[in-house]
Amino acid sequence: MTNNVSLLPNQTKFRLDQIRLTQKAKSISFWGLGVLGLVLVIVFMVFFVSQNLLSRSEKKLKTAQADFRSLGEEVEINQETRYRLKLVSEIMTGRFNYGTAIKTALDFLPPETLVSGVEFEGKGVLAVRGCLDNYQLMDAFEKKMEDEASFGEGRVLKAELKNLMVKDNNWCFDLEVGVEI
Amino acid sequence: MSKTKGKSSSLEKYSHLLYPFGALVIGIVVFGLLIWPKIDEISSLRIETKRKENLASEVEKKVRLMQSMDEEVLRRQSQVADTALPSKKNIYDLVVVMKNISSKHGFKVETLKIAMGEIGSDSVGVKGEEKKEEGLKSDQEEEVGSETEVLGASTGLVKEEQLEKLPIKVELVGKKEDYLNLLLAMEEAIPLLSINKLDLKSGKNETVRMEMTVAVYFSPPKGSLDLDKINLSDLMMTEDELAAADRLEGFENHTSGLSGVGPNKPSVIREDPFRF
Repeated sequence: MTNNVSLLPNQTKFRLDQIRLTQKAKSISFWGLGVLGLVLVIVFMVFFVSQNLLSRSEKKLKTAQADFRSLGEEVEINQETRYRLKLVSEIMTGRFNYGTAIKTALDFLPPETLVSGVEFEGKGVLAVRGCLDNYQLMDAFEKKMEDEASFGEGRVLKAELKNLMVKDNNWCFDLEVGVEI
Repeated sequence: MSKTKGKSSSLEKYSHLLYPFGALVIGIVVFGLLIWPKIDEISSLRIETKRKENLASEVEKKVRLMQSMDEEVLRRQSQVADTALPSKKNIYDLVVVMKNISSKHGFKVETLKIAMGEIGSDSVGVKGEEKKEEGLKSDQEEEVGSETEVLGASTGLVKEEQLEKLPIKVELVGKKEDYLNLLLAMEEAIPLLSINKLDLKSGKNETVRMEMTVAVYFSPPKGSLDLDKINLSDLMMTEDELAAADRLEGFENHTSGLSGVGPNKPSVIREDPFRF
């Protein structure tokens, strides 16, 4: 009897604690599920927003592509022109300009030179035959050949006197001129 | 009886754990079946959105670039490029062009031979070897024959750049004082010409005879264009191309009035080009 009396409050206390714990667990579980539900809602919302953004981007892309297609003729002209200009550039860079080479070599000579012959000796090398009727001119020309700075914008790469003949103050020379190719 | 009672009291003892356990199970199921796959989908949607945004932005830039281009300049460049490098071989026009350039500088075409020989391949602008011969002359070794040249890497749009070269062997006679002007004029002539072999011989009475092999170039149209594969950089001309366009502007067009060169070709009555 004594035992029963003494156990009753403990049992009641235990039961009360158990009920409290169950309620707490319930409450935590419901909170957890609530949070989970909220997360679920947020995730779905983000999903729909993302879908919306994607469809907007697609629309924007389609509009831009349609605009670009409307410029199709200009684009075609642009591409064809680029294609041809690229080829033109390659041809112009690759070809050897005989006229320019001869002009470069002749421009290197004093203007008073009487040119009697021009020959191509090799790649960009010309043999020029000419005469100057004045010692001072010949002297000045020889000095010009020694001074590489006078070659002018690098178009004349070298100039070498191969032969020189003088008769009655008439200075005839064979000159080898290397020009840029 | 007491065993059953014991079991039920034990269940009762752990009944408070049922809710958290149930919630955990529901959480795991919801997370695994709904939330995680959706997060995955959101992530791929975002990547796709970003990709499409970038694409749209690039296409918009292309549109803006094309709209900013001066249509008149573009058409003029196109016309010049097309005339400088015709897409079709037209022998008659070439003969007339050669005659026009020569006669403009006081030279007469003595003979003209167009070799429609075997088709070969070569690289553009290979500078031949000059060899010395007697008199006022120069040579650049090259066999006369029609050639097809394939250029190197393209812009990525052009499947393969094809360039055909048609060599014309021509003999010209004129005044010695004019030969240089003629050579310079040929360098700045439209259609584009390239002297591959030159032999200058002094004649009587201050005349000069020029034997040369002149290459004329052709390039067939690029073909169909896939607009979607064109990048922004493909629309912009490179410095070399712009420089070429600028140089071509200064060149003299010797094809005006001819039938087969340049766009919008008019139909003309053909005359004998050798009737001097």
